[in-house]
Amino acid sequence: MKARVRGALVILLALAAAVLARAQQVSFKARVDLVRVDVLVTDQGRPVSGLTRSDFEVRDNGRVQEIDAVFGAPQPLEVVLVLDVSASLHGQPFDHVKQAAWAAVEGLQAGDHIRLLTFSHRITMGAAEAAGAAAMRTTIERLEASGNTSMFDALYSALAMAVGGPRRTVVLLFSDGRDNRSWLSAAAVVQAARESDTVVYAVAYKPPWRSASDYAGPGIASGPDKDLLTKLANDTGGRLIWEDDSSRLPEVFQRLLAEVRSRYLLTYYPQDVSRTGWHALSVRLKDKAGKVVARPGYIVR
Amino acid sequence: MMCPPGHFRFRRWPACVALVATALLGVPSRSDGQGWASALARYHEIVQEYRLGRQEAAVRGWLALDDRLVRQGVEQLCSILETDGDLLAPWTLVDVQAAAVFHSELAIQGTLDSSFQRSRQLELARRLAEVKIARSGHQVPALGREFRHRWHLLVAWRAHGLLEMEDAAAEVEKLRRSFGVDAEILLTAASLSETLAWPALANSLPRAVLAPRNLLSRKFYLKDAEAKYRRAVALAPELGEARLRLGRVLYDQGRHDDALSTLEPMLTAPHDTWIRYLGHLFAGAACERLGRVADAAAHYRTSMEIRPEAQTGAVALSFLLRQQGESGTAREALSPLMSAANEQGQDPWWDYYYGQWRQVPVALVAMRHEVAR
Repeated sequence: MKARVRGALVILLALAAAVLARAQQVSFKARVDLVRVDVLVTDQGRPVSGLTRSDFEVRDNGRVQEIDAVFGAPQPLEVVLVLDVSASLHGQPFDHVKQAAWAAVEGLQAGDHIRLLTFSHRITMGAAEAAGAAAMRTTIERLEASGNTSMFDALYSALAMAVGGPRRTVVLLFSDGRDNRSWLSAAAVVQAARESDTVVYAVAYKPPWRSASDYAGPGIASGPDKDLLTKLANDTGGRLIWEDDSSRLPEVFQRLLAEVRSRYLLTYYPQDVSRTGWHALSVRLKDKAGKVVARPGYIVR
Repeated sequence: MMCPPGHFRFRRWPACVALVATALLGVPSRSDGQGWASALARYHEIVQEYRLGRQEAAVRGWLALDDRLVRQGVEQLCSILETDGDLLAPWTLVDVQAAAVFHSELAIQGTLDSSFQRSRQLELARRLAEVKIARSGHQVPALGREFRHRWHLLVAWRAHGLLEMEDAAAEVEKLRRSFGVDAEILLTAASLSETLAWPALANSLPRAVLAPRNLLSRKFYLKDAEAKYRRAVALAPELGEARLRLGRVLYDQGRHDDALSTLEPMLTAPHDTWIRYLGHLFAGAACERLGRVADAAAHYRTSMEIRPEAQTGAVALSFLLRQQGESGTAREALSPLMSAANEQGQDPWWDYYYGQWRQVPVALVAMRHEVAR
């Protein structure tokens, strides 16, 4: 019995190593060779589990592709937690933001990595740390809300740093305001998102008692940039959550991470399509019920 | 009704009459009339503290005063000067100027918490800075032309820095009316137009403030800024900031070659790292648009060398590299964002669209030195 278990473990480890080795080969330049598509499948709002390669159909620029592999949960994650720490969050909402950040850290599992990137007008980025790193708690506790908003530059930086290797990469963004300090434009960030493998989950916070006229400072005249955040989430196959109660943020962060874990990673080698340019993607279930959310396409330069 | 006690003496009887009339009208009341006089005496001592460089003591003293009485005292001081042509002893015009600078400093720096208090300080400063003096039946500005010019510029820069665009524009208009057009006024006016043309900021300004201006297009504001910067450069070629900003508005209008040639002389500005840093950033952006990737990267790298603690050069370089497919080096370019220096460093880009805000502390110090004893 023990030998059988040991044998199974060896096979599992070998499989895992093969998967990791393949995934590690995936980089920006090699992407045309192996395309990774991160998809969420839900049925009546609940994640659908247990799907296999034969359940999916992937079209690249309209051409049906042969799926190489489908990885379901659990896949290790590379999470970049992008937190708005600008002055408009000062007070209790910011305490809730810190609790939410900590909830995200606690929600990580062995093998996951997390990187904390905070932004006001200044962007501060920590190194990627393994799940359970005690230093992360200290970093989060020391955060203070002050300054303006460089969200575009921060998001670009997060996308540039989100290289998971064998891990699936997710940017979890929290913000309550509009950009007023970035060098890069919104269009540049959207472009960077479309060129990356990373899924963007955005949490926008705007308390109901705050009207546009309450925002005295520049950059927060009308709360979070809904159009941009929606576009980023849609273009990466992620999701935008609109939250008006800061005390619910920890629960929202946990729920989103759980959703990320329920996603599938599909890989394929593109056939019968031109190498460069925009590749329109469509992913659907062949014979099962369920809603599939995936990025609408990707760019190869 | 008697003249105020102590060392306050009226040199001419009409002032006494004015005081009597004011007292009879009830603003200030009889007791207030006594009160403001002693408050004005204490206020004069506070202004002397300020002139001696004891700012903290001056602020403490001011906060202990009855605000209403001092305001009444200041109003009397100014009214008498404007109707009678004389100052209440022991006040001098330099004291009045010093008081204007003192209140400007309180309005601008972070001593007072509430914006209401700060705006009240600015009101007091304005009353003093704009006070007139009666001369041969006319009223002329009591304080010197140079001081008033710098004071109005300071107030315009402050308003621009707070994005109080209407106030800033009104101050610039006052400058134009009082002093004609010079390079500094043109630079200030052009910067306002440039800010109004910046979509990221214009979108976030309260609509009520910008409603009439929204009717005008970004193109209009950029053209307006360009014309004013050009005139500023023509009047004062040594005004590096005007040339730098001219380069930027040319870039914003898609004239990338013109932008580069305009920025060229700014890239070697010997002392001003603010100008050189932004000059290289802007030149990098223009090169990027012209497809000169290597030149763009070189400009961004130079900006990072000039201000290693600033982050924008690193972000710009990283984005450029990533667009070339060099995702690894694009990540490496962002390493300054992980350094401890980044947590304290200032980036000139952050304040670029806030006009001459960065000059405000420097201008205040210069004005303070001028009235120092």
